[in-house]
Amino acid sequence: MKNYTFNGLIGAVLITVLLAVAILGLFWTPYDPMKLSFTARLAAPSAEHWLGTDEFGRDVLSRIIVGARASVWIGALTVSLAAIAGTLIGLISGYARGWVDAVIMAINNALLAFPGILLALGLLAVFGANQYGIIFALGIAYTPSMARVVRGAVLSLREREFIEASKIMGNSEVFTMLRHILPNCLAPITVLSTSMFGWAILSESALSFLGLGVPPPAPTWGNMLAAGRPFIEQAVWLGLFPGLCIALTLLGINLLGDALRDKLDPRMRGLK
Amino acid sequence: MLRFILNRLFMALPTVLIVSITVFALIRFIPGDPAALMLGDMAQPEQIAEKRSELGLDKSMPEQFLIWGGNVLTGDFGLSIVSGEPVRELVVSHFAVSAQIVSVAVLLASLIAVPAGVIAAWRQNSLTDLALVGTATILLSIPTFWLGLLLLLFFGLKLGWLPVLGYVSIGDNLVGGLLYLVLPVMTLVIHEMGVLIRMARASTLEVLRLDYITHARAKGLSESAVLWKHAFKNAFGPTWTMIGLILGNLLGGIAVIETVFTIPGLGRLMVDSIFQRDYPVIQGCLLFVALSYVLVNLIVDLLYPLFDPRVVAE
Amino acid sequence: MTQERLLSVRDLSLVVAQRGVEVVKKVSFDIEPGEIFGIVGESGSGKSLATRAIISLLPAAIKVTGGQVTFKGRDVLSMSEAGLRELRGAEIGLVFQEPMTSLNPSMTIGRQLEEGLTLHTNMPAPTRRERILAMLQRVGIRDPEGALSAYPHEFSGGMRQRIMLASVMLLKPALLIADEPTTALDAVIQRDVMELMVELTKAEGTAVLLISHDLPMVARYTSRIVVMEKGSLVEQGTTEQILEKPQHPYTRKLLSSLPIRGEVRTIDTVSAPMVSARNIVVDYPGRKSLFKKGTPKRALHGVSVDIHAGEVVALVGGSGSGKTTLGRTIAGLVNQSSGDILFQGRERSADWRNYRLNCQMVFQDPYSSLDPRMTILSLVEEALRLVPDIDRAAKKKRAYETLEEVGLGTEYALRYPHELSGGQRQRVAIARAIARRPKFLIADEPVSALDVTVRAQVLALFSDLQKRYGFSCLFISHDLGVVEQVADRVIVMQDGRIIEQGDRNTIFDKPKEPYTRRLLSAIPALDLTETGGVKLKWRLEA
Repeated sequence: MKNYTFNGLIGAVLITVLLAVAILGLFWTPYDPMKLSFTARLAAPSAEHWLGTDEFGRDVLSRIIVGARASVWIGALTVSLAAIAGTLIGLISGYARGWVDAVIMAINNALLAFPGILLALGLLAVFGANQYGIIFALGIAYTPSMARVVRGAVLSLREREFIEASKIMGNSEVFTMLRHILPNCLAPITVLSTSMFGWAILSESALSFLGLGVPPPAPTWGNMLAAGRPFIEQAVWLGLFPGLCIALTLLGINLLGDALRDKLDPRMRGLK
Repeated sequence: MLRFILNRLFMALPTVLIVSITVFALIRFIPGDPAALMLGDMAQPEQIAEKRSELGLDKSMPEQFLIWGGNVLTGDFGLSIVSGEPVRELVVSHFAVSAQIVSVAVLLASLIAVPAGVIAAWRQNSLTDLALVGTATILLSIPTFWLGLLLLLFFGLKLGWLPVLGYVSIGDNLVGGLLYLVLPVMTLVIHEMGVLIRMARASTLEVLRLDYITHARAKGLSESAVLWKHAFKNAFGPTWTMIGLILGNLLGGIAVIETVFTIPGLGRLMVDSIFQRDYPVIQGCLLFVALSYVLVNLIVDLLYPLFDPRVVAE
Repeated sequence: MTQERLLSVRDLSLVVAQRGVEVVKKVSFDIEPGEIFGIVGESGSGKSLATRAIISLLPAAIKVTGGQVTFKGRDVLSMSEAGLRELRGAEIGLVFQEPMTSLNPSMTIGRQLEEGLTLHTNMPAPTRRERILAMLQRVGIRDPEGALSAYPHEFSGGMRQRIMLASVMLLKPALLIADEPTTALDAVIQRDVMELMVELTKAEGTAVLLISHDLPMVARYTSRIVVMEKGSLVEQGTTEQILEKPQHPYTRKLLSSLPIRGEVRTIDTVSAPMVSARNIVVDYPGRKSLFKKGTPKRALHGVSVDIHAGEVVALVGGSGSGKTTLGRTIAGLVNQSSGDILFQGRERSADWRNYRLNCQMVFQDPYSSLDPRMTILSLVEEALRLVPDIDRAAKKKRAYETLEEVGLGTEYALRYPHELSGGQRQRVAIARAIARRPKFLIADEPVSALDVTVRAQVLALFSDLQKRYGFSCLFISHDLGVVEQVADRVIVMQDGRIIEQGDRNTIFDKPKEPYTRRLLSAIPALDLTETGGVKLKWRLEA
């Protein structure tokens, strides 16, 4: 248990750094991340360019800082979209039961039958490969998972006696839903949202790596890796740093997510 | 038992239907007129209209869906706009390449990770456990495309042990073909091990605190008998489901790995088709992968009673 | 030749390793061959842990810090793992409380029973099979052949506990440790399983270490008892001594917490009843599958109940008797397929609002009946939300007063349910139910999740409040002892029908139906002794 709180702390630190860097990127970067310099192409890390420069002589550190902003922004919007839509659908489905539930869940399960980023790929073909296309595509692709988790939580909460107690007190269904069910769903929603933030950042970078995400020259960690790929033999740093940023971010989210799950998952509670 | 199997089969039907509708609808939502797109910028309105009726686009949506669905059922996925080849053959030949990599990777990852996870759970909170869980969490956090790049850089470029670009089918050249598969498979194995170790550990921990484990110990069974005869089989169910999910997820996300290692698989086919707006091929890939995923999960479900006889009675 | 002592535990101490909390403190007791020995204690008394230490099967977090365990002259605590494995199963058997989780769900019964024999004997396979079949027959499994290839989920809880017994007794151990072996079972089945256990162990000369919170049950079968409280052994002696002349204050408290018959009260049964349920039929929809339309399962077959003003009516029966369904139907949580429910002479559906204001409910599980995200005060205040004609300030005041009435002072008002003990939570649940001053209360097993001493306190509180406010009550319980204490009238249910009803004394003293008699045979009648103890009298011994 002690290890988990320690790990959670590491996770929290990593995520705080990420957020701080993302905010920093709004105001300041060491160099203009878009500025080309043909004299400083593929320069190795040095005092001047801490993380080196890319094939157009742009400062890698500056581009990574701006990339962090893109990751956080896309991740946050995607999660918000999926969390709000999924919670709404899950609540309705879990509370209505009967055929409404059956229809919603049939559609939900069918959408969950698109594995990995496949649905997002399909949706990107519709929305177009850009920042907002990605947010909509991923947001819609993640909604079914959130809906399923919320519905599951609602169904198990409905069996709890305090929901029946609320009915006995004469409270309306809507009141019971808002006062008793929704607040008790927040724990699983939080845990899943944390994981989703990680999925979104990973998927965004994967899509950008494929060339289907945020189009260059705007920097994201994914498209930086893709652009640097032909040059990694001469310029290892182009393949190293953006990937390391993604990995550290995901590590932070995973550690934080584990700690949250331990703290919030009732099954783990009382199991000291 | 027969009821269980039939029940599961019928439960998959609505999913298959809705998946097909979704795939059909997705492509129809894409802005722009496919007919105009196929004929290029110079087309005359009459030509477009002719093409539209040729493609059946002038019919109502439900009619179009039924025609499309009927064609799919008879194995006709249409023709690629770009190359003119039948989509079915394109999809099947590319799928074979991806499936090879994915299935070998999942098999290897399971063989290593599941025992590791069980041992971590058995030695909960020991150094072994902490090391295994720590490693697993790190592995899980490394994006596959970056890991692939690093492995390529190290084994391909620095050491020169393995080929860097291109692909040879094992059918054409067994040894050469295998060499091309080593890096992509290794990448996937390393990543999925992270997921599976944690899953196997968690489900084993869940089982280890149940009474029948204590009862098995109280019978005088040795620790290894308790672990492998009593705990393992019961703990494997959730992991088994997870293996099915991973298999499907890899099929859906294989595009990045195929891009890193320039492998002509299904994922690459789909991404290229998106770039080229080759809608019949996109449609074929989406449908094929989603339905394979449904099939994999169905098989996983049908085999589940081997690990937990309770699901049949349910 | 003096007989060798079977088991001797000396000054055993256990701690939770990481936090250094001592959970068992210097416990000593001895068990002679063939005797039935009892350990009695409430939850947290350390009774289970102390007995797990005997075969070195403690959870990883618990460590032995001192003492000795000697089994047949051998020091168990210093034994090697291999030595322990020879002891476990062969010499010392273990039976648990929860029959649903103590058998491996993915292994056939036959293989699970065979495992011990293969391990500890060198019987050839046909002999093993023969022995297993004979044992299954003996514990009352109808089709032993079929049971061999069946999985645990195909059996009921009582049957599984019999299979557990068979599994352990196959090896004829010298000592059987039975940890709450019947707590999870219905009263009638409980008794059958206990009798079977006593019969089997007597036949093999096996000593039994019986661990339970249920003092009368332990007393019924044991010759000697030790009482544990918070990790310490507070008293030991012969069963008779402990019951009739308890020395330690805790033992006395435990004994005085046993339910005894309440006074006879006069209830006005001439006026129209407060609540009247008539010919209630409830069908649960059967499980639907693709191939068959679910056949509905009838839970209640036309049941009628009247509850008069100020009357406490108890509904008793085993699981599946329909008592809970009837309570939930009257509460409006389950819809009846046919039948009427009248409140104060009017169909309740004519004025649901009035019914909801006047009919409240207390649930069984205080861990599930309180919203974990609300404070105690807001939980009670919520009950007043829909009460007309009192303003906000008055509601808050009433909430505080009600908490005070159930024995929870202002300092509890802002706490959350998880910060309270089980008994305190049940007090909150009661406060919530009575805050509205309802005329009618449904209590569904309100004390069965509580420890013996806490149960007595909550029951006393309930009786006090009932007297003060005079509400009518439908009291649902499987525990006839509790019913004997609180009920004015008793209704016995079986298989969705009422099989017998009458005022409490008639039902308890002159039951007519065989089923009622069997239920009653599981609980003792108590006489208080002058020495602060009790005399148990088992009813209707065959």
